[in-house]
Amino acid sequence: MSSKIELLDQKRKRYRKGTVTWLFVFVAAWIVRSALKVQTVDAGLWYDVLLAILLISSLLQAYFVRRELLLGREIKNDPLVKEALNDELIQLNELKAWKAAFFAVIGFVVIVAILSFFVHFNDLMMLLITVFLIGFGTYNAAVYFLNR
Amino acid sequence: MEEKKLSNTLKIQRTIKNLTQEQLAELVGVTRKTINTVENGVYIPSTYLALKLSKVLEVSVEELFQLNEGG
Repeated sequence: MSSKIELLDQKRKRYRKGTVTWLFVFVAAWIVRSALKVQTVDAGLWYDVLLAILLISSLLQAYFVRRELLLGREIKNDPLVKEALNDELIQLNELKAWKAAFFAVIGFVVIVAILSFFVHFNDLMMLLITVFLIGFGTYNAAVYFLNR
Repeated sequence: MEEKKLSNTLKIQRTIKNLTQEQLAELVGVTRKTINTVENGVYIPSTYLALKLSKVLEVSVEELFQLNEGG
């Protein structure tokens, strides 16, 4: 029989996998949509399809994040479970994930800086949101892959 | 300077005590994955965790972890 810690750990990994999968879909759709916008392509129907993907993936992400938060509350109620599910390896992996996110953001900024010599980026807000999504996405993906 | 590699007898000691990775993890307050990565030499535990493991398995830290001269 599996222990409570193991069961909660499996649950957490399952929810994290859901969050990361739909976050990946969201970021991919966001980048494609932003790239079309930058090149001022009249993509008509594709804009609507990408918008629908963004909305659906946001809803699914929200579902998995909510499940994770509820699980987090359950974990917090038991100090022994909380300690085990936040052990030294998990803490180390979270630090590694921060590092990965930092380098992903730096890499993206460098790519945008180089591209800015050839392409005119007129929407600063779109760029800022993309940088945030790259960092947030990399952190979550790294935490999932390191702890799986 | 010669390269030194940390090896361990965690799996052997755990088997002697007739414990699964999951049971040992619960006794020392970590996840099964942490025990698995320590056993496989992927992760080097902190002094705190090493002491906890030696206490639960009733062996000295030196019996659990050894520094081997690498080639």
